[in-house]
Amino acid sequence: MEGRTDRLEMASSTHPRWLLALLVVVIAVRSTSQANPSCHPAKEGMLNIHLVCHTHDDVGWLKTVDQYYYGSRTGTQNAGVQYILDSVVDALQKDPARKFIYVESAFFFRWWDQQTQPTKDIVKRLVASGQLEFIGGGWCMNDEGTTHYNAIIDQMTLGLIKLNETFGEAARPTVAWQIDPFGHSREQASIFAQMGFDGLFFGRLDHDDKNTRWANRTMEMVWQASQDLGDAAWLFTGVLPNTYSPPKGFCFDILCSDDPIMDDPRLHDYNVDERVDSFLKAAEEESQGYASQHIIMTMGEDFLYQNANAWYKNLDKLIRYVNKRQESGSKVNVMYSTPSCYLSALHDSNLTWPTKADDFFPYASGNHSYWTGYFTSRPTLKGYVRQTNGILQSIITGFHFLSLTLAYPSLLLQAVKQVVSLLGMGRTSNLEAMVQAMGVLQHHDAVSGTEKQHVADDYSERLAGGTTAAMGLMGEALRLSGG
Amino acid sequence: MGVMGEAHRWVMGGYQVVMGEAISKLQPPEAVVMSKGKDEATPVLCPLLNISSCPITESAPSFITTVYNPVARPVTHYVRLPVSEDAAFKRALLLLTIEGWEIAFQWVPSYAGIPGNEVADSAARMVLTDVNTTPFPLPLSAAKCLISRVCRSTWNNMLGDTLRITSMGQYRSDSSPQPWIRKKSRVLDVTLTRLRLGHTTLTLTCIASVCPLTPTAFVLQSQLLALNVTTFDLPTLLAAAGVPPSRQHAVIRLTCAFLRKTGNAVKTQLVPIPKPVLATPGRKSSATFELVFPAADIPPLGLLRFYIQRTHNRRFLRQQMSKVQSRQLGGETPIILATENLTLVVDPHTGLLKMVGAVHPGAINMIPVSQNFFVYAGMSGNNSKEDFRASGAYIFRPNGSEAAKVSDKVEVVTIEGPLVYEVQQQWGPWVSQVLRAYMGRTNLEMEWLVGPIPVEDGVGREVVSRVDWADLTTGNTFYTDSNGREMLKRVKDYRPTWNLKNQEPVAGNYYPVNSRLILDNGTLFKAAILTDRSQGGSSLQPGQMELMVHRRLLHDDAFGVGEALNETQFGEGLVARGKHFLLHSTFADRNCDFGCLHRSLGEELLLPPLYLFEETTASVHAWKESAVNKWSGLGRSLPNNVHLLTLEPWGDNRLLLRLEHMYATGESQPHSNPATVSLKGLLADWEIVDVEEMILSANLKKKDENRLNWKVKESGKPVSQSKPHSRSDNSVHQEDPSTKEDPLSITLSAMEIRTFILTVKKSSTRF
Repeated sequence: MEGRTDRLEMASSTHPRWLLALLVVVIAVRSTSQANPSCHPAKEGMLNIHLVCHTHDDVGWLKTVDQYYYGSRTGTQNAGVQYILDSVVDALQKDPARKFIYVESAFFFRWWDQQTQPTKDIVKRLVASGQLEFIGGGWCMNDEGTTHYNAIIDQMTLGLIKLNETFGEAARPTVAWQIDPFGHSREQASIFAQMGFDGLFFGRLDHDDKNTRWANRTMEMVWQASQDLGDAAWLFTGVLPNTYSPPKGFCFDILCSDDPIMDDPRLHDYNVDERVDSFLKAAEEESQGYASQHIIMTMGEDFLYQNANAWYKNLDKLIRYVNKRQESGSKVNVMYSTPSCYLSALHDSNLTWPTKADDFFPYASGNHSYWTGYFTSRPTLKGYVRQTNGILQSIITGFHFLSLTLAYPSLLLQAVKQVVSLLGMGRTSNLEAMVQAMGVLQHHDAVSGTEKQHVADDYSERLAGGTTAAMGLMGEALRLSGG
Repeated sequence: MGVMGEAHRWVMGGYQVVMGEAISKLQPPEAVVMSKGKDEATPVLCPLLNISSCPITESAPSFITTVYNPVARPVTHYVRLPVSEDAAFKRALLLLTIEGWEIAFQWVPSYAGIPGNEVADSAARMVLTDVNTTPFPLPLSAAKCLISRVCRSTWNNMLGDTLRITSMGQYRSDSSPQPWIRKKSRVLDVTLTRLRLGHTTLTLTCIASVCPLTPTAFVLQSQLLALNVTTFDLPTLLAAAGVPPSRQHAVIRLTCAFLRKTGNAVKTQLVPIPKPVLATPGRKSSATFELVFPAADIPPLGLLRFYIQRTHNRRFLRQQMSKVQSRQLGGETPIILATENLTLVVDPHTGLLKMVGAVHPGAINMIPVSQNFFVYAGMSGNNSKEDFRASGAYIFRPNGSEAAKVSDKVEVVTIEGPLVYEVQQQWGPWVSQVLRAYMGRTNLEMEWLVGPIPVEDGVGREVVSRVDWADLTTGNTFYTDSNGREMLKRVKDYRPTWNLKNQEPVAGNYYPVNSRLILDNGTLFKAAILTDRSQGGSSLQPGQMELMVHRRLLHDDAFGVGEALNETQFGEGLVARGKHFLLHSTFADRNCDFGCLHRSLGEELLLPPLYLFEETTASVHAWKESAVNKWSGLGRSLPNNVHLLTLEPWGDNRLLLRLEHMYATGESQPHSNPATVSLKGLLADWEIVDVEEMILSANLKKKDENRLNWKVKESGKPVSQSKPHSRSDNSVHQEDPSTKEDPLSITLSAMEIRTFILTVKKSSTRF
C-alpha cells in the first residue's frame, strides 16, 4: 500500500532525476515480483474468491450519456452515475479493506471536474492506496464488432492519458475490461497488448463456446492476437463466470431484490448460515469451470452502487462469515479484490495456459440468438462515425501544421482552448468536444446501433455539433496559414 | 524555374475550375494574412455531399474548394460537387447532342511574375478562344485588342526577351518580324504555337500517338497533311512550327518535362444526379448535376485549392456534359462501358452487372460477376422462448425463407464521359445503385441507396447486396478484417475451437466487416469488397459475398433496448446511402498486386480527402495572388507501405506520432517487407529535436514496458512468452553518437505500429 503511495506522489510532482530513476526501479519491482502490496493476500491450499465490486456504466443506451450522468429520466432507468461515484467514494473511506474499480473515463472525468479539491485529494489517496482502481480506462468500453482500430486507439488513448495526467503513471490501468460488448475481436486484444495491458476480461461469448470452455476448464487462456506481431500481441484473456453479474442471490444493491445478510441471531429472519452455505455452493460451482485456485466474482451490474453502502455493508459481513467457516475446516477464502489482483494471483499460480488464435465472433447468447444484426443496425450512424473519424484525423493533423504555435499541454485536455486563444480564434473547446464525442460514439451501445432512438439522435447531434465547430476552426486555421 | 511562378488552368464550359499552385510570389506571411478580408466567409464543410447536396456549390457564382489530404502520400482523387442548372444551363441542355464530347485541356504558363508573362498568357488565351474555350477573366474583346497589339509591336521585345532569359525560351533566339504566322486553321495555329512554346500536351498526346481518334486530332492531322507534314513525330512537328533545328532538342526536352509535370490532359465532367437521389426524403437541394474533376496529386498531409466559377457559355456545357442513355432492356447486345482500366458489361435482359474486365496492355481479362439486392424478412416473435426470438437491433434472424430479390425489373441509365462511366440502376422505388468506373482507377465503385424500406405489410426487412462470381463453384472460405486491420479466415458453418451446431444458417455465418470482405479460395483469382462503414457480411455460397446494408424491423429482440429497430426520418423509413468498392486480383499489375490494391484503397477510404468550401467574390487573379493554394505539411511522403496513423499536438512543443506498417506478412510483395522511415525532415516546418518511443497508448515509455509473461501450451509443449520486444536492433538511435546511421531512422515490420512523442522546434517561416 505504501509503495503505491510513494510512487504516485513522485509521479505527480516535479522531481529530481534520482527520483525518476527510483521510480523506474519501483515499477520494475512490481512487474517482476508481481506482489501488488494493495492486494489482499490469498491463502495457499484454499479456493480464493476475488470479489470485484464494479458498476457497468453505459455511455448512453436507454438514456443519453447526459441523462445517465445526472440520473434524469428515472422512469426509463433508475441510473445516475454521479450518485454512484459520490457514494462509492464515501463507502471506500469507511474501511481500507474495501475496493472498487471504475472503468468509463468519460463518466469519471465528468464527475471529477465537478469535485472540490478536498474530495479530489481523497480520491487521489484512494487511488494511491489501491482501494479505487481504474480498469480499462478508455473513454468508453468500446464496441468490438463495428469499430475501426483507428477510433479504438483514439478513444483508449483519450481516457488513459487523462488518467495519467490526473493520477500519475502508477495508476495506469493494466487490465482491460470488456464485460458487455457482444463478441470480441482479435484486433481489440492485440491493441490492448500493445497498450501495455497484462490481461483482458470479458463476459459475452457464444453459449456453446462457453459451455465447452467450462467443461474443459479453458475459460482462461492466452490470446495470440496477431499473426504478425508475435508475443507483443499476446494477451491473457479470461471469460467471466456470470457475464458481469454476481452469483445468483448475491446482488446487494438497493435496486436488487436479494436478501441482505441478516446476522442478529435474535431476529426471526436470521440468515447467515443459509447465505454462507449458498455462497459456498456458488463458489464450488464456479470453481468447476476454472483451472486455478482462484475465481473471480463480479459484484455489480448496470449502473449499480448508487447506494454503495448497501453493497459494502453486506459484503463486509459475507466476507467475515464465509471466512469464519475456515475455523471449522472450510477451504474457501473470500476477499475484496480487483481484476489486477486476480490476474496477479493467476500469474503467481504458475500454470500453463491454453491459447486462442481466432476471435469471438459471432456471438450467440442462445439458440436462434445470433448477435449479428448489430453489425449493420443504424447504417447511417455507422457511416457518420466512420466519416467523422476521417475528419477528426484531418483536423488533428491539420491543426498542428496550420497553427501558429504548439504551446498547449494536450489536445486531449484543455489544449484546444489554448491553441485557439493563441490563434485568436476563441472557441476551441468544441474541438475537444469532437474528440470526446468520437470517444463516446465508440461505446458498445453507440456505433453498434443498439441504443434507443432518442439516444441515437443524441449521438448524431454530438457528432454534428463537434464536427461543425471543429470545421470552423479548421477553416480559420487555413486562413491563418495563408489560405 | 519549376513549379514556382506557374499556374495550371483548365478552362471549361458550365463551370470553370482553376487549380491553385504553390504561392505565386514570395510574400511575407503577414501580407498573406492581411490580404484576406476579415469579412470573408470561413470555409465550411458540406456534410450532405453523400446525397449530392451543398448550398455553396449549388448557388455561389464562384467559390473556392479546398481539398485536404490526410494521407502521408500524394493522392489523386476525383472531386464530385453538386451543381444546379440555371436558365442558360437548361437551354444548353436542349442543345446537347447525344454525342459525348471529350476535351483536352491545355497547359498555359501564367501569373509567373516575370515580365511579359502576362502578355503570353493573354496570347495563350486568345489562342484558346479559337479552340472552343473561353477567355477568362479577360473579356474577349480586350484580349483580342491586346493580342493584336502584341503581335504588331511588342512581341519580340517583351516576350522574346522574357523567353530568352527563362529556360522556356531556350529554343528561340531569332527575332523574326512575324512570329505569329497564321496558317489556314485556328486549330493548327494553336498547335503550332504550343509547339513553339514547347509546352503543349495537345501535340504529343493527341497528335502524335496516344489519342489519335479525337475529333481535334483528326482535324489537325488532315491540316498538317495539307501542309505536307506527313509524319507526326515531335521533330517533324517542331520543324513545321518553325523551330530552328538547333533549338529542337531543347524544345523536346522542355515539352517532355512539361508533359511529365502535367500528366494526362485534365478534364471535367458534368454527371446527372440519379433520380432516386434527387428524391431522397428531406433533401433540400437544387443540384441536379455533379461536377467531377480530378484533384491530382494532392500533397501528403497537404492541400490543393480550386477556384470554381459558373459560366454561361453553352459551348462549354457541351464539352462537359456526359453522354446519357436510358437503356431499353430486352435486347441482345450487352451494355458495355470501357474506361482505360476497366470494362463493365451489363446484362441487356436483367440490367444487372454481368462481367468486369481488367484492361492490360494487349489484353482484357474478363471475369463474370453479377450483383443484385436481396431482402431477408426479419423473424417476428415475442421472445418468450428461444424459438420465438425476433430479429432486432442486436439479433439478426431471418424468418427462415430464402432471401428474395428486391425486384425483377431494373431500370438502367448509362453515363459516359471523359472522367467517369456510370451505370445508374434502379430497382423500383426504394433501392437503387450507381456502378462507377473512373478513368485511371482500378476499382469498381458501387454506391447504393436503400430506403425507405417498406414495412406496411407488417414484415421487417433486412437488405443485402450480393455479389456472385459464377466461375467459382467451390470453397467455403472467406476472410473478414478485424477492426479494419488484420484479416481473419472464416469458414462457413465452422468454428475453430468448438463443434458448431448452427441452427441459423444465415445469421450464424455473419461476421463483422469493418473495412473489407475477401474471397480467396486458394486459386489464382481473388476478389474483395471494401466498405465505407461497418456492416455484417458473409459468404453463404461458394463464389458469393453478401453484405447487409440496411435493416428495418418491427419487433424488439428483448435484450433490453425495448424498441424495435424502426428508424424513420421525415415521416418515412430512414434512407441510407453508402459505397462498396469491388476489387479483383486481375486488376493487379507489376507495381501493385492484390494485397497492395486493397490495402492502399483501404487507406484512402479510411482517410478520404476533406473538402472545405467558401464562397468568394475575389477574381481568380486576386485569389491566385493572395492565397496559398498548394501546401504540404510533410517534407516528403512516407513509403508506400507505411500509414501515418496519428499526428496530434501533445503538449508543449510536442507531437504524438504513430506510424503503422499497413501490410500483413505475405500479403503483398514487396510491401510486406520491413519499411524504414527517417523522421528527419519528415515535417516540413518543424525540426525534431527529441524522440521518445512510447507504447501504443502513449501513457508509458516503451523502454519501461514490462508486461506479465505467461506460459502457454503450444503443440503439446509449454512455451513461455518472451520478454517484451527488445528494440536494440531497430530502435531510435537518438542518443548513440557512434552510430553512423541516420539517428532518426526507424524500422517497421509487417503490421507493426510504433508510437513516438516528438519534441519539435519551428524551422520554417511559412506561417
